[in-house]
Amino acid sequence: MKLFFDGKRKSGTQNLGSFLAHQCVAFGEKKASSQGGQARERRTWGRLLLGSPYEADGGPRQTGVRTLQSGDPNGIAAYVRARPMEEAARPGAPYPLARALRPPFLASASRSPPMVSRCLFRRGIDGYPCDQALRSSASRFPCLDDDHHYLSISPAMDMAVDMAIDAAPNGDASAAAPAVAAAHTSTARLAQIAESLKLEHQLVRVPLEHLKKTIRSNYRLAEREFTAVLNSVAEASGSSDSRSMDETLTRLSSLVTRLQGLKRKLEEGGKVENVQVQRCRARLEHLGSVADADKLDDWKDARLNRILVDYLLRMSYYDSAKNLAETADIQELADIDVFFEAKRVIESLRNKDLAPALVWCAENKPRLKKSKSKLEFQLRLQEFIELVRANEHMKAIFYARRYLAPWAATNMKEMQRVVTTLAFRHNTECSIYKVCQKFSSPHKDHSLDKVTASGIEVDFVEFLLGDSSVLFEPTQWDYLVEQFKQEFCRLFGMTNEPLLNIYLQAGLTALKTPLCYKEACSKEDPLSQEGFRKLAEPLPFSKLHHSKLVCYISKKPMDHENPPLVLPNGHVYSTKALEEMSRQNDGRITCPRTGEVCNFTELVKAFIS
Amino acid sequence: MELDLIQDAFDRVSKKQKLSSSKTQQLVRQIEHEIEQAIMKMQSTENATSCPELKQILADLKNKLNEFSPMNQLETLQKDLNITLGKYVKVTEKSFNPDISKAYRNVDFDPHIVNQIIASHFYRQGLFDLGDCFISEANEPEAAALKTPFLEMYGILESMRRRNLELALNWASSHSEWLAQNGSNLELKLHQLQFVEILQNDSVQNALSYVRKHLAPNASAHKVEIPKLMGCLVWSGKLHKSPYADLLSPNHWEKLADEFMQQFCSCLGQSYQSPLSIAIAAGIHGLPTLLKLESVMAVKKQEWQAMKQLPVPIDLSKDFQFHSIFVCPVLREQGSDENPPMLMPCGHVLSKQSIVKLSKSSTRPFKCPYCPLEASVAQCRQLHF
Repeated sequence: MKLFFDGKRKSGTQNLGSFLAHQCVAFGEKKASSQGGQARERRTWGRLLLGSPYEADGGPRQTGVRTLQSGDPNGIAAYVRARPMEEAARPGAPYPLARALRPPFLASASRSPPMVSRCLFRRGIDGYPCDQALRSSASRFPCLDDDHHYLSISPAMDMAVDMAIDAAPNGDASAAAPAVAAAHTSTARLAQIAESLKLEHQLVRVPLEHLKKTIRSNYRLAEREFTAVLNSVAEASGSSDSRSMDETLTRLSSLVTRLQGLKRKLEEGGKVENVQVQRCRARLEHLGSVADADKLDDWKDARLNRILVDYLLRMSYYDSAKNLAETADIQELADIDVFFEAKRVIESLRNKDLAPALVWCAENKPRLKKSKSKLEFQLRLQEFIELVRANEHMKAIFYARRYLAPWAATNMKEMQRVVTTLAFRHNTECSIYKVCQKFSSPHKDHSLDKVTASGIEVDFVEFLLGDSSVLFEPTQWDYLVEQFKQEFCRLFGMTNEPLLNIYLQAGLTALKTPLCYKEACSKEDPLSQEGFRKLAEPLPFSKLHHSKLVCYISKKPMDHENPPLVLPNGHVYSTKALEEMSRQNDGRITCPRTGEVCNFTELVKAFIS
Repeated sequence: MELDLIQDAFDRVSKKQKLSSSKTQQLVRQIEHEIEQAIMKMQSTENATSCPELKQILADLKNKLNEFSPMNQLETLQKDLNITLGKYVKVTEKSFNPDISKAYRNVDFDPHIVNQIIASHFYRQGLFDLGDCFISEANEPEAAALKTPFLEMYGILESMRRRNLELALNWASSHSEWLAQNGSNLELKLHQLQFVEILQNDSVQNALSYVRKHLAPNASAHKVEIPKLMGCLVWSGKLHKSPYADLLSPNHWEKLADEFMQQFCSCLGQSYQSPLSIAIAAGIHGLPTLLKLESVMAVKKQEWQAMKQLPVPIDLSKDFQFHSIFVCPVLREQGSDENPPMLMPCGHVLSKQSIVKLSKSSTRPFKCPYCPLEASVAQCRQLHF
């Protein structure tokens, strides 16, 4: 331990490794003196940096010291990379190495950014500790230290830690690192998959709601029949007047047939329930099958197709939806039959027929009431308007008394608006007749030049009827269709928006950068397509905290295993691509974008975190 | 995500449902049985019109039915089932995110654009019938324009699958300039494969004439490959024993098909993978982060809808990196035309603004924040990624 600290004090601070060590010393001393636990601190630091400090055989500790002394960034990175994984993997490891590399502890002894509270780091510790902790600290505190021009080591740390933790296995890494890093990427992938499974609520909820509905309807059927039968029996036995045996026999046998009919219906209902239970189960199994790594691509394709089928069904393109479900073999995973129920109602609404919609509302009354839905009220309003349009005023009034009055308490204003139309139709004999004529036609544009009434009256009428004219429009039916679709989806536990829109929005936001809108955008980027660009316009840009570079030549990422090289003219390409080019051209490099030629030896390495 | 818990809860639901269903049917049978018994009793009594007897039977029937009270049993069954269903619903709501549309911004997605995107996706996947059906249902006749190029592509791919390279070769020769510009040697590979095919199935003479016709004109460009092909001629008929046996492997066909598709798509100005699937995959990656962000910002709901840039990064994997984005480590901002990245002599890269700040407006040399090498503003060069 002493060897380590004493040795490092003298070396300059030209390279990362020794700089690190220097800072440890500086801090270690400071802390030790302030707390008085010198030996303890040194042990702590020893353990932090080198693992077990008490190895007499000079094994890991000595190699560790040598590595750190060498100042070779790759070596140190490899060392740092190896340690946190091991430390983190050991249960109960008290001082993961990663935690040791926090900037405040290693900042230069001079004025350093304020110490970040322990909790901030503890929060950042789970997962890949140092990364997040450092980034959160860096974002919190200004990195430019005016007096000393030394950043609080965080970019350097970022670099070392990034190399250690972020990068995939490096060629010159120690043997432990590749295996551990590979495990890291696959755990990250599994975590990502688990997260994406959490989004699949609709997949599981919809068949369940459907099942509940079937169960409910079967129950009601049984309840009705039972009550009828029991009442009939009770009545027959309770009645005081005498009845002939034949009458009673016929009555009883009719009850028997009724029960037989019930039996049949319950059997059928039971079969339907079983099918639905099977569907629920199949979906749960499908979600479980994502763990099977071979079929992951198929699973992902199935997911995309599911999303598309959901969109097609919501837009009422039933044939395409069926076609796609069959082609992609996802019939169990798609809710086609659920939407078929809606299809009937929607088509009737498009044909201006309100009856099926009202029947549907009656069937689902309790649940619609629970969600405080106004659908029924709006349907009734539309029926009222139709009556008014057909000039059947008395019928309209009776209708309103019967059906609209119960809703009056909660929806007074709207009701008043609608009922006003009726009021004015009554006065059609008077000079406002023409005005009303104009209002009853589907044209929104109602010029009042032909009216003979006094201007004030006309204005008054227009004022009152201004909004109401829209109620006569045929677009009102489309509005009803939309409302119905929304209620329908809500009842079945589906999202308000089609899944496609939700995911597409999220994806476009994640991919959107200012570079996507330039001409030089790579064609592989979805945002290079006109349609996607238009859709993404109102969405926010994504943000990055670290540089992510892609080579122009090979289209591969430029990271620590493929670092960027700079040509004399300032253009940057990846090492691998340039090496390949120089190999094929006797050591000469031609810049693909400007055409300038240079030698491979003239290239400079760039360090980008 | 504990799928096991959910499956257990669901198993309970399914058991209860079966139980309830069978019990209900049993109840029905019981009632029926009682009534039939009553009927039989009535038919067996000799005194057909005796009222009290009749009444007695009916009263018995009523009492029996009330005894095992089918209504109450039905109710209890239904209640139990509802309780189990309710528990299952709770489990699902806990394990899954109940409302993923919370992070949805209220912007209108023009349905025409979305429909066009979907139609082109179908065509790109080769589902031409589905695409046509969709277009007719969605009433988007303009989208049909995307059909023809992909039809062509799939036609060529189909013929390649049947080991017929003619169409592919035609396409490659008609686009040879474009291919050469983009540094692709697709044409050469096609010729190679064709050569091997001819050698195997046909005579050496034909193979030789094929090479003479197609590869000789450009011989200088293919200095490495042509000798190999000539070497194959020596082993004609025994190619699998030659050192060139790997040319026979079927992977070449698949790889070539992939490469062909890639070149075809990029010639059209389209991406290799369907853009819709890329966008949706990115969305699936990024949605959990967005939902978390939304719930944190839920207090300031307005900001969520109107923000210009996300405050947190969404971590996408390498597959989604299409652009070089430089983020200055000091300012944590993206590089742009006004704030380009600059390379310092020590090899580290910072944005222009941070260099200017560090050097106190370009007056004196400053120390690099990473390594203590001094540099002045003039020594820094601008980088182009």
